[in-house]
Amino acid sequence: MTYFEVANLHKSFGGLIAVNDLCFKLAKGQIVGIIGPNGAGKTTVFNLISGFLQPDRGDVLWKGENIVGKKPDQIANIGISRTFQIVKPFRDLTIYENLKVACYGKRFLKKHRGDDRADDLILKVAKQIGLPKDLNQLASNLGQGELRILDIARILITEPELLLLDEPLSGLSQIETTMLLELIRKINQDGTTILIIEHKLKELMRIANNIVVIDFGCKIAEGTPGEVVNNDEVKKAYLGDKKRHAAT
Amino acid sequence: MSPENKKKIPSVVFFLLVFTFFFSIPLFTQNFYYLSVFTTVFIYIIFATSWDVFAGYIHLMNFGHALFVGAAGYLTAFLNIKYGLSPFIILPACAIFCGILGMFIGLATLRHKGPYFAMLTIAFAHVAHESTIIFSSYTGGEEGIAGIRTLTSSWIGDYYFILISMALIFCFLLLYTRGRYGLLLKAIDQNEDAVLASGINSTFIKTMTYAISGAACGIGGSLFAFSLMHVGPTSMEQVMSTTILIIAIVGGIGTIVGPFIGAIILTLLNEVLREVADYRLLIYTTLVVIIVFYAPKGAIGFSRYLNPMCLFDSFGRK
Repeated sequence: MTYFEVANLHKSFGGLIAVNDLCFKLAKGQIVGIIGPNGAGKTTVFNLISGFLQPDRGDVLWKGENIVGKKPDQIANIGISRTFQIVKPFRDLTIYENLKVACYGKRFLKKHRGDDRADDLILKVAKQIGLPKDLNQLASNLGQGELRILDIARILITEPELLLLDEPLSGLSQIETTMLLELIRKINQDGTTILIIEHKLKELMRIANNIVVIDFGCKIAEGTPGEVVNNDEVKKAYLGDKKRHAAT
Repeated sequence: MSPENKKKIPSVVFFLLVFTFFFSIPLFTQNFYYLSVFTTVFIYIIFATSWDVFAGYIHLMNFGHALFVGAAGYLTAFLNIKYGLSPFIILPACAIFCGILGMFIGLATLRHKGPYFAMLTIAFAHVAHESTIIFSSYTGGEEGIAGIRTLTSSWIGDYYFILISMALIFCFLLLYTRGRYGLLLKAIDQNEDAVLASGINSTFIKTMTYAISGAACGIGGSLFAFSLMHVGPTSMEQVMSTTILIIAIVGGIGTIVGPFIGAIILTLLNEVLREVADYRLLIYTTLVVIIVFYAPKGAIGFSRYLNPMCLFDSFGRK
């Protein structure tokens, strides 16, 4: 049984095909990257997997079960959690309250029924992920990098099995990027499988086991980072077609 | 004692004083007029706080809250006059009826946002209002239904009955919004996608809160009908919905305490301005404009500047 599989996933918006019969698989414990030029359909894939959009056809299989048709909260509760390309913190709540919200998800409540570990877990995750010590300050006081970390921290509270990270490194400084890469590695070593969309290819290549390349909603390449960077289709997608440029 | 609990002491003392004052009014005066003014204050507190628990926290403007006032009023008249049931049965019946009504309206409207949601709430209240005219053989048409018996055998009994009901509803709404659901409502207001991604069924929370808002207002609507001994289409008019909304905004939405204070200020002001009947509406609306401009968080936001003790900090943070 495949751990996670996307099979013939298709989504169009009017005449525009955003995701075109996309297929790929994930093994437990992997870090898999999804890359592609702007508008390739990467975030749409995340929206389809996480239930924020429903596909026109195709399947998303999680441990053999087709999860297409489930709502976003149901998908989060079976262990697939996501972050967003544009950070979505609760700006008028404190850092503590931002993390506390995730403690009211069904998955968390089921796992921790009867114990009183919510606060301990919040403190542990906040410390582990490097959030400011003062958890009582408003999220609106945090910088872009800290907000992104807060977004990830909130999702980690739900203890996901598969984590979908949508451009987690965008807008981060070099130091923050290095820290977050270390954190992603650590989360992965702790047993969480990770699917990650990222534009910073150099950084992604350092942590990903496998890369899926998408262009115009179609998969154009898949393989290890080494294989993907040497793929002609990928080069064409990112740099354009040499012959076509010469002709124009 | 934790610092958080220490901060709450001034607020608790304030409310103990306010409720002590309310409970002691009949000891000083048994004048029907004064008691009925305060009874109206208590009923409007129920209307405004029940509006606030949903609309104030999620910032979805409910312009049709009077629907619950009228629905509960007519149910009260029906159960009291036709079947002679006691208030102890009618009040829970109204709460359940309006709660279910709120749940269905919530399910139908909550997928819409902003002006579309507001328009739908107006439409539902308007349909209900027009129905009272169309089905006049059941509802008494424009004249409504008179002859509802009083809550108790005395005015003072009625006063305490309504005061205690208001106090219980106020405490319930305060506890509801200061706990898990208040936090989730604020989170849904700020970013519903992130709430969903955390594994929380936001539709359920919104619908449940809308039902609670309806149920609480249903109790208020029933008490309103009992206190007037009459129910009519005016209880469902747009003016009623707008009055509730203004009270909540003037007090400070998303706080529960704000609409509590707003109801006291505006209902008493309304009575005081009866002396200058011609200018009443002018003064009333000018005050609303001033508050909206200079205290956009409502009276409760304004009180922070006046009160060095930050009296309401632990209650109204937004």
